Amino acid sequence: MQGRLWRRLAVVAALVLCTTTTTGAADKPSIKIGLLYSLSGMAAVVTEGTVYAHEIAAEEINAKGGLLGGRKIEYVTRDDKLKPGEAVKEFRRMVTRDKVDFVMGVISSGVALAVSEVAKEMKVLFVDSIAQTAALTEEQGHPYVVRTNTNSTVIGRTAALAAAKGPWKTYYFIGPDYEWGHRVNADFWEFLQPKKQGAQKMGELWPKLGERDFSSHITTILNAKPEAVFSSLWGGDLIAFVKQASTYGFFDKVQFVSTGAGDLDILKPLGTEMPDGIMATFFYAFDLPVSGKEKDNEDFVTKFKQRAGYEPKSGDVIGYISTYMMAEAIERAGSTETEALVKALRGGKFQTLLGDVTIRDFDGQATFGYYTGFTFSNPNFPFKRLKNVIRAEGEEVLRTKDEIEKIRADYQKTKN
Amino acid sequence: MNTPPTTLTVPRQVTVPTRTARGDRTTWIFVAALVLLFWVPEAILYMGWARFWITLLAEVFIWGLFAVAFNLLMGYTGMISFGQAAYLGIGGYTTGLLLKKISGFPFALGLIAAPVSGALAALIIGYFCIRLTHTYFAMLTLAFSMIVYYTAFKWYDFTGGDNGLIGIPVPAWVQDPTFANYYKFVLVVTLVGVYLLWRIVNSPFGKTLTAIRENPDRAGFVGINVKRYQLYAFIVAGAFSALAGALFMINERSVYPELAFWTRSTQVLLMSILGGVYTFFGPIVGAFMLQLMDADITKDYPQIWQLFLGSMLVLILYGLPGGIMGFIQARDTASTDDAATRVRKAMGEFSRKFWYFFAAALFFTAFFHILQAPDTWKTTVLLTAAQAVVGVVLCTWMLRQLNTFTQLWRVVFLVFPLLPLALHIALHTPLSGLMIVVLWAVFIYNYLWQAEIREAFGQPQHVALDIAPEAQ
Amino acid sequence: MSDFFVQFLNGVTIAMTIYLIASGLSLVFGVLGVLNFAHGSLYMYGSFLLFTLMRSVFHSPSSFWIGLLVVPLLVAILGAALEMGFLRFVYKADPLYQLLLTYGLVLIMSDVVKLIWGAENQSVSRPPGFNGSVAIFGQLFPSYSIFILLPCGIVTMIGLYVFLNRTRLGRIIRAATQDREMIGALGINVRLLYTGVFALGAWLGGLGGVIAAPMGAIYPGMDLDIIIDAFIVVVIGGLGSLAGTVLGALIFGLLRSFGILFVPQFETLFIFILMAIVLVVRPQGLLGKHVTSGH
Repeated sequence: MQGRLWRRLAVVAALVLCTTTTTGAADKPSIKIGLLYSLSGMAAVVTEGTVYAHEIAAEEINAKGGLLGGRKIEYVTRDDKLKPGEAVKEFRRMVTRDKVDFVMGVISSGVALAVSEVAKEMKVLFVDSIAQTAALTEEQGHPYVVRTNTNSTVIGRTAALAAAKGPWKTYYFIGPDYEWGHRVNADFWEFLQPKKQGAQKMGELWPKLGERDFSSHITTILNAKPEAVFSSLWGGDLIAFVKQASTYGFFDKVQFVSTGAGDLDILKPLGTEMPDGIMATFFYAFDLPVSGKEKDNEDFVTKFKQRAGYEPKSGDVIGYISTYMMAEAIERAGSTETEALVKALRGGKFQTLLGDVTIRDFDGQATFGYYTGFTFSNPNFPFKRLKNVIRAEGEEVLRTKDEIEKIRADYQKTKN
Repeated sequence: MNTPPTTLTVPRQVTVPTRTARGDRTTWIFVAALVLLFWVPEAILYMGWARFWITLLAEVFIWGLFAVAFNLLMGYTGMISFGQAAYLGIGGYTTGLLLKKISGFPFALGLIAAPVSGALAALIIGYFCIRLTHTYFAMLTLAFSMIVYYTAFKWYDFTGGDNGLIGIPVPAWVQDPTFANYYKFVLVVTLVGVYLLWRIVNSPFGKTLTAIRENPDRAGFVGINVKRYQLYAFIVAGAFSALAGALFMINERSVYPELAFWTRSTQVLLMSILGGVYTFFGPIVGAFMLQLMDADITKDYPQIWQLFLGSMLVLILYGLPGGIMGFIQARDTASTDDAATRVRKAMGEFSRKFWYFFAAALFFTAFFHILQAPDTWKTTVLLTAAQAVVGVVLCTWMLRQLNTFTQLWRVVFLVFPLLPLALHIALHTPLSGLMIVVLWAVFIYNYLWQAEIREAFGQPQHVALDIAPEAQ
Repeated sequence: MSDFFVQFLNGVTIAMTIYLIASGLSLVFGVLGVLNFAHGSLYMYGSFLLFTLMRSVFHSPSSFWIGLLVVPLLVAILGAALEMGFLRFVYKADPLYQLLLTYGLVLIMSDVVKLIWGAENQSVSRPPGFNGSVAIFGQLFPSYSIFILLPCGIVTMIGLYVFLNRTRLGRIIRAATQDREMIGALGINVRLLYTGVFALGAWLGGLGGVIAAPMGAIYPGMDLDIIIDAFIVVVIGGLGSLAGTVLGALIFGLLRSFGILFVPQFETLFIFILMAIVLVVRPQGLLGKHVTSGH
């Protein structure tokens, strides 16, 4: 009888052990930050480095003792698969299951708008570190969204500022057929027109995201004989476009103005296939530090190269900067509570690797500057670099408070 | 050439013998499920992860509805649609557009509009699709779903283009921060939807569909207008899929073109195959399991999620073509056996399957454990081995006791899954516990509670509750 | 008029690229009855293998020619392995189950690519001598397209035609599309035949991957992008008909290039609508055989 009892208990114990899965996460007094990026799909190449950079910043901060009296930063990293539905799902899970204090991310503009909506509803802070659509902070802005990067307006307008200095009047437009492409192209054009007398838009093309074959687009553009072409293509699309266009002698015939070409994820794979003299905008170049920050930049570049195996690009450094900005905000707020963070962020001034930056209080947009340069061959590198760089200050190219209020008012009207 | 295969002819086990007095009993099961599930949010509210599970469960319910609707076509009528997500999109956009563009549009009407639009769309699309079979049918459904996708994508002014419609107004009571109200709403709607589908499947209409799946030619000879029935099935599936689409929209307060993208259709296909296409509840089980695994694996290993899915699909297609529910429910019987032989065969099968179940539970538990805590994998492996040894010894003993046909052991087998469930709840993983326990309970019930077996255990015969109907 | 010619030639080059890929798909369907979802994955592996060959093994753009010879063979071996390891067990089952199986393979191969090569975009350059352009009727065209893509496509077309219609093996294969059991009854090793045909299909897919690689970016996810296009082409042209694949590819390519010219907003939509129309009006495709109940 004893044996049977023990055996029964053993059965129960064994079966219980069998069917146990994970236990709930033990609560540590760490500051949990959600990172929501596209770890798969087209954009994976861009955001892998971002996550590394976030981690480097957190390690540095934790090594110095953490925040708020010794609390360490801990990340919860998730993949949004470049899809709004997935992003919303992961965002909710991060907040309800992983108990993050706020979420940083995303890369896609469409995804950012979706996540922002949920952040508004759940009253959780969403820090947009990459996605550029101006709508996020303008029409659809609300207190719980903040952007620690430039936006499509800045990019389009910086390019327009530089383009206006050149002699080109007739433009053809090409961009990927989604929110980002349409926005940037529109912003460029609106800003350029008053600055360039006689500027003409000859046409526009909207290949789908992930388009492989641009030969028809290229020949259509060449047939129209514009003086310049403005493109908001990025990633694999831009690589394919440049490769195909160069065989048509495209870049000898038109001045190519590209918002993506200045960054390493394009310059490196193309190597010498990238033509010289392309006007490209960029947020950051590892060999062109902001004056006064040369040492810090070098430290960061070295650390990043050790971790990732390649030099950091714009999308990467922003991870580093965003974490530091948020860390500063947490210290100023004295807590990780959402309302306090929002107060500390909006209107706050921050010192970053790229200079001094303010987060405007009426839209949560940071006032980073932006650059334009021309590609050229630098013998020190197996890929092209940029010269004749012009910098545009954030305030120069961001929309003003009045402009934004008007946009918001118009948007409210169309909603009802 | 021989009679070409016209249906899914992957070898499958013969399903459970027919029951007669079943319908009303199952209605009670639905009611019981409603009541039990309704109070889940309150029951688990004190737990830290409550909101996560509630939202996860709500998502599972919606997928479950979609999967059951999909399976009406696949499992019951034998038509594999690669474009069922089109109706998700149509339903989601219909309700979304109505609620967003027309201010003050009543929510209930918006919701009802979804299955109506889904049915209409299915009527048009189905009219073309049912003229084809098999691969061509699949291709055409795929083409139509991509047309829906691209239309939504390109029509920027109307549908918001690739951004979709964001911030669709839903009634305030849906939006409470604990998600409890929203969960209950979804529960009620999906349960009603699934119940209606259940009635449809068990009606003469549903039987006709199954006859068509088995042999369309013969069905035609008997006088059934095959094409018309297929169209009806298509419309019903489309309507309920659209309802699921509207629910997805409410889930996210937004609707995007990707709702109609073909990869969503393949997701529901996977769920149905995983759970078992030959049973009614199979797809729901599949939906549950897939969402649960998605939550666990994509958490830390998003880069191997597709690898995992693909491997599972391949394994299931090879080893378990009836899916999990098929495995659990099917019984190998021949009508020529007498009662004693049937009982003997059933018990033998039960023992065999019990070991498969045991091994699978051990394996997957260890697998997920290692995924969660890869550093302690050695400990996990050792622990699993120890459990295996202990479990084998004990379960052999238990099964042998069972074969003495004493009542006690039958009850023990049926009751013990409650223990792990209680422990799972205590350890904050109620959903995986629930899943394992429910499957285990159904499995054991299906064998040990059938009338014949019962008699063998010396019990007077009751009319048994049949929670898993055959799908012939 | 030269505009027209330019877009026409563009359409032809697009068609040639997709033909190379779709031909393997069509062949496999015609003989084995399987619509191989994983064909796009084989194409992707072709591109990635070429990348590794050119960047890591030989470090030189002229190794493209070696790649052209070697990589399709490697992909063919991969294809044969897949067939022997997975597909051959489900031939008796419904063709749709085979389709599902190939979809499972797609998922697996998709993640494996990322595990081996990482998630980044890659690029290989064109072989030296073919970087520039050549003038035709006053318009510049990439010399790669004119001198490598087009000839390869045409050679493949002719080669397949000759192989299937003029050789004994080709006759056997064509017979297999009509009646598998009879072939077996005549003493032909059907298993070997099937593996061989699948390997040939994979070879074609790998070839497509090699040829397409220098023209664009190489990235995980290119398998899914290409397979839908390949489906469209074979459906329009006729599943199982190689002449149909040529026609389907031409229609696809021309619709793409002229569509961009005239209705840039909707050209993707048009192609799916065309696919739907063909399936409804003439499901066997423009040049396909009448649909037998087995398919």
